[in-house]
Amino acid sequence: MVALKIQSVNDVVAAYVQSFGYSDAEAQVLTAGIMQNYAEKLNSDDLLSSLNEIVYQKIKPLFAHAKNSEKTQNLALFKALFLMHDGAKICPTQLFDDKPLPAQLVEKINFDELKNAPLIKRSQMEAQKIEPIEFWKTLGQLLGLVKKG
Amino acid sequence: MAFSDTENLINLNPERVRHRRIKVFGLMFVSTLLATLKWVSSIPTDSFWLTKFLMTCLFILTFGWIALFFWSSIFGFIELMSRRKVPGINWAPKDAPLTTKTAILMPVYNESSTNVFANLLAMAQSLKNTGREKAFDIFVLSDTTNPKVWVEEEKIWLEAKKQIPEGINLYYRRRAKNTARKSGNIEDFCTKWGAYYDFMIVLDADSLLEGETMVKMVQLMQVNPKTGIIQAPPMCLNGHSLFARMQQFAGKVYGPIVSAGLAYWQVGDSNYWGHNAIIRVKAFMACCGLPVLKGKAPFGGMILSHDFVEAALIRRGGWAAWLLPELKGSYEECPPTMIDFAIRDRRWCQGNMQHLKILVSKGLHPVSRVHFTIGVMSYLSSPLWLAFLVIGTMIVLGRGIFPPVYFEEVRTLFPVWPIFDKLGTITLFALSMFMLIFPKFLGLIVFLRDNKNKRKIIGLWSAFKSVIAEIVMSVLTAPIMMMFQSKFVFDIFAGNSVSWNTQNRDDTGTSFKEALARHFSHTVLGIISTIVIWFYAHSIFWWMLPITIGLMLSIPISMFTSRVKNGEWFKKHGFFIIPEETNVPKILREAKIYLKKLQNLEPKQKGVALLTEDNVMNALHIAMLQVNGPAPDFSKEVMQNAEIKLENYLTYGKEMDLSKDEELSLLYNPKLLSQANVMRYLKG
Repeated sequence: MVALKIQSVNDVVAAYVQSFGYSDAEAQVLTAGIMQNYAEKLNSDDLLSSLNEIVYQKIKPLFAHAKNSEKTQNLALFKALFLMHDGAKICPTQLFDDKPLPAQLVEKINFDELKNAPLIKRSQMEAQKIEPIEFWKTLGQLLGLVKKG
Repeated sequence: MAFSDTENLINLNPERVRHRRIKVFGLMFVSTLLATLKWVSSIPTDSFWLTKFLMTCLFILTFGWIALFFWSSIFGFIELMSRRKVPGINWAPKDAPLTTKTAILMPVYNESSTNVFANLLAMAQSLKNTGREKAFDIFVLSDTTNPKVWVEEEKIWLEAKKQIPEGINLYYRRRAKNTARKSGNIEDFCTKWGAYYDFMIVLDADSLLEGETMVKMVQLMQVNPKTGIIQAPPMCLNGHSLFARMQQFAGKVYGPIVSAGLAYWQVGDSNYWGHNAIIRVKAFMACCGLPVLKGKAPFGGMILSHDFVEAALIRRGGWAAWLLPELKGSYEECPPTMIDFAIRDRRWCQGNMQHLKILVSKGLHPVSRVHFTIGVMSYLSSPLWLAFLVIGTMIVLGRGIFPPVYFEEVRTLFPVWPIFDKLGTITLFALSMFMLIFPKFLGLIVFLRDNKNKRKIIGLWSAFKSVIAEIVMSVLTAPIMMMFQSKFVFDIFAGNSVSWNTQNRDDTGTSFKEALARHFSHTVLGIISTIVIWFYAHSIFWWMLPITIGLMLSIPISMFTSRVKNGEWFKKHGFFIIPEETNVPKILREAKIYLKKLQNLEPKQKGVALLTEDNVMNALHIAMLQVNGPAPDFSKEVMQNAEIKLENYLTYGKEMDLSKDEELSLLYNPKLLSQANVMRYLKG
């Protein structure tokens, strides 16, 4: 989006942090930390992807047992649960610094809570044959002129 | 592939099954034969041979149709009065454990999300009350194409998940492409998750099934391992308009003898009505993959009314199918207006006409062929009746315009009197009326017997006058429905296909404009035929009046019956009351409570706008995209326009005004959606 590209890096990072439920003031503090710790990892052409990557690296261990899921989806799932459980209060800084995530948060992030379907277990369903009766053959069979089978 | 013999599938002597069928169809044939002989002798002797032939053919078809309904109802009545259960199926003890896993499937298509999830929550609670909830998972299988409804479904799913009783999983997935409509939706479930489940209970958007009923259905499946489908006949409930209340009264009073009658001769070769039924997943997956029929729509192409076909295929594959009137606690809603009823009929009509092609396909059980024939005749009977009436009227008109020739060219001593057995015709008319109306009173007897302890709610007089009023209203509405259905059949034979529309379930009533648009032709036809008959065929004027008056008054009848306040007025005056209206079933009460709760949580913003404002929904939507499958293709232009409109909305607060495709393209774009969500914090 063009509007995102013309904003200052600081503003975009702060907005990103706020989208995780942090207040404006908290976001300013966290943004300063991010700028300091991850400056070299931030790609100004695609800031949001860089920020997503930073968060993903942090939460990756949570998905150790997840099968068949993608980064974008995992990140989104985590974000939804983080927001639903007031993650900003439980985890004031750890999401964006080098400290581990609080145990209380890890405990609360239960992916089954938002599981919208079981894992796909493929099986086949063949299309059945619906063929018209061969009228003359059936008539012949009824009259004993044609053998059945 | 050939069907298996019924005797291998059910626990009943095949002779008994045969006797049942011989009795019903034998009586139908004998009564039709006798009536036809009387009819042939009643036709004016001087009629043209072709007219006689046509009228006789039409008489056989239409009378035969009434006779089947009549005799089936008589046997249904006998079964219900003797309190006999459907034989041949093993009944499980009430406390039999559930050792299997069942998926409850709710396929939806642009339906009201709050209604759908409220019903599911009520069913989940009802299951919880049985203590067997762990044997069930619920799936909402969305085929929704409206982007705003899609996002709303996700939002309400999230809220419903918070409220669902512990122990029951509530899943939601939306298909990107709704290939093969409802049957494709179920097939998609089966191929992805069918392997986890023994049975599936298929619902409709307005279905409600009591927990105990679902448990009983599973128990029955467990103890009848050769059974593929069990259909619980649904009862109409929750109707408020006069039209819906009349239907639910008719369903409550006459429905049981109709169902019991069908179950009497169908036994283990019954049909499937598309919802409120339990299906063995293994049998369904092995037998019910639906092919695309050769040829163009409406007869070729995708199978529309899949339920009858699935029942026939499952039966062909060696599994029994049961209709069990003993299964109570199965509910659905009736269309609120005559026009909604007709719209639904249009869809069903095309599906049933398509069965003409399947009816003569290889390997089907004869009873499955009867099901298809009944389905076809449900709609084809209307143009047949119409043709019968038109030809009959033409004969009388012809007689008025061209009087009989009493003295032919060859001189005779006496005039040639055309013989017309008026008494015979009146007798046949009275007999047809009797066969149509008498089963309604038999239904009333069963209804009163079964509701003895509820006499305070439905008194004898109240029930009796309701039956009379229902008969009067049926007489008035029958010609309108005949015209609707005749048009549908002609349309279909002319090659006009039907689109997939969401069924209206709201009590908004029919406006004059809508009634005029739908019934104008009926009114004109009614007026013209009344005038013509009055002047040129006066002898049949009074006989034709019930038909012509219904057509002439079609606009006011349609509007009057669509009103909730008229439904309430009739209720206040003791008409069409069923016990469930006063003693509302617990599951329906709970569904209403859940509905209120969910309606309070309904977001003000819709679609993409909601996803930009609501962080949780934004993240949740993106997380759920994976299960929904790959995004459909959108043109570059659509995607660019959508992005520009979204950016203008976020930057300048301009109305988004997205087209359906533009909004869908955004909903399939996780990157843009997450950017939009972040941008809302940049607005200031």
